[in-house]
Amino acid sequence: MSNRIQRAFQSIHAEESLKDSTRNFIFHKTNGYRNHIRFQFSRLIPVVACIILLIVLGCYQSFFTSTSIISIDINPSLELGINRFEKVIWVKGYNPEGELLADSLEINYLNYQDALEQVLSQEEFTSKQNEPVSIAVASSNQSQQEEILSQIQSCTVERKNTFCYSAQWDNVSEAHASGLSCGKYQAFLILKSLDPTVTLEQVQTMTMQQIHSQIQSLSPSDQPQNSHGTGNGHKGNAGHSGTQNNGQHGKRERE
Amino acid sequence: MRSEQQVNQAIERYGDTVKRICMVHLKNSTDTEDIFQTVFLKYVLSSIVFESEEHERAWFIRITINVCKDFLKNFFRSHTVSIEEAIGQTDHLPLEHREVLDAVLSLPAKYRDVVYLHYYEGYTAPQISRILGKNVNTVYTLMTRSKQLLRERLGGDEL
Repeated sequence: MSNRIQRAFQSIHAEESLKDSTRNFIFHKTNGYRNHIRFQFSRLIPVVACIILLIVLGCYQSFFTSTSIISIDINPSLELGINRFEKVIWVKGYNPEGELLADSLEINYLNYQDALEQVLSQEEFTSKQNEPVSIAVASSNQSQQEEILSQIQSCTVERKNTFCYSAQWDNVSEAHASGLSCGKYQAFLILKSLDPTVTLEQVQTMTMQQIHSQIQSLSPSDQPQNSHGTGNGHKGNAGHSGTQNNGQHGKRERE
Repeated sequence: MRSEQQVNQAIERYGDTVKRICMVHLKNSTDTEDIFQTVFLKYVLSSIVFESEEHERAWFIRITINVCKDFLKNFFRSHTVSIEEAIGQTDHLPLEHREVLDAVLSLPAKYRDVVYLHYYEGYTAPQISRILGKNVNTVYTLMTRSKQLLRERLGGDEL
C-alpha cells in the first residue's frame, strides 16, 4: 500500500555535489579532523555555583544554629543562644525585665564567657547580690554542655548565690512554649514534683528566689544542704533531680 | 570525534535519508544543504556508541527531524510558506513521482514525518512514536488521517 510513496521517495537522492560540500564543510570545521572535543569548563560553572551556594548555606546554618542555651534567671529571665563555635547568636528575655535587659545588651557574636560576664555585670544583677542567680545550661551536645557548665562554674565561683546546673535539651521547646526560660521551667518542674498543685501561670510571675524558697520549704528535711549548687544540681531530669545530694534549690548562703 | 572514514561511510549510507527528510520539511536547496551539513557535523562530534545499524539510522532520522524543526523555529526566518516554492523542489523528478511527492509536501507538517517514516522507512506506529516523541495513539491518528488526505489528493486506494 505504500508502493507509490516508496517509489516516489526512492527517486530522491543526495547529490554528489551536496555530499562533497558536506565533506569539505566538516573537514574545515574540524580543522582536518584534528579538533578534539575540549572539555568545556564553562559547563561546570552552574555546578560550581551550586556547590558554593550549598557550602555558604551550610556555613550560615551551622553558624546560626544554636546548639546550647544558657538560661540566666533572677527576676530578669534571660536566655543566650550559643552556637557550636561558642558564640552568642541570640539573646531573648522571658519576662518584661528580661526583655528590657535583652534589648540593651550588645553581646551577639561574642564568646559566651565574655557575654555572660557582661550580663552579670548589669545592674539588674549586681543590685540583687542577695538573691539567687540561677544559670542553667541546656545543650544538644553533651560535651559542649559539660564544657560550658564547667566554664560558668569557674567564672561564677566568686559570686554569691549563684546556682549553676544542667537542664535537659528536650525540655527547651516545652519551656519556650510555656513562655519560660529553660532554667525557670526546670525549676517549675522540680517545684511541681513537690507540689502538684502549682501551675505554670503561678510560676510565670514568681521570681527565682520565690521558687527556690518554695522548693526548699517543700523538700524533705533530711536532704543535706549544700553551700553552692555548682553544677551538680538538678541534672535536668524533669522535676525529680532535686533529690540529688547537692541538688537543692533555694537560697544558699556562703559562709 | 569520529574519523574521516566514518564520516564518509555515514554520508554514503544515510545521505539519501537525510536529504529526503530535509525535503519533507524544507523549502529550498540552500536550507537543505545547511541542514545536511549540520546533521553530519553533529555526527562527527557525537560520542554516542551505536548498538546497531538500525540504531544509527534511527539516530540520523531523529536528529535530522529535530534540526529541521529548530531551523524552522528560528525567529529570524520567515514563517510564510509558499507551496509553489515547496513543490518546485520536485520539478526535476518524473511526473509519476512528482505527483505523489507534491501531495505529501502539501500535507500539514505534522503528517509529513509520519508518512515518510511509515510508508517509506517502514517504521511501525510504536517506533515512530519513539522517534518523534509523540504518543503512540497520536501517531495512529496521524497515520489514518494522512492516508485519508493522500487518497483524496491522489485518488484511488493504491498508495
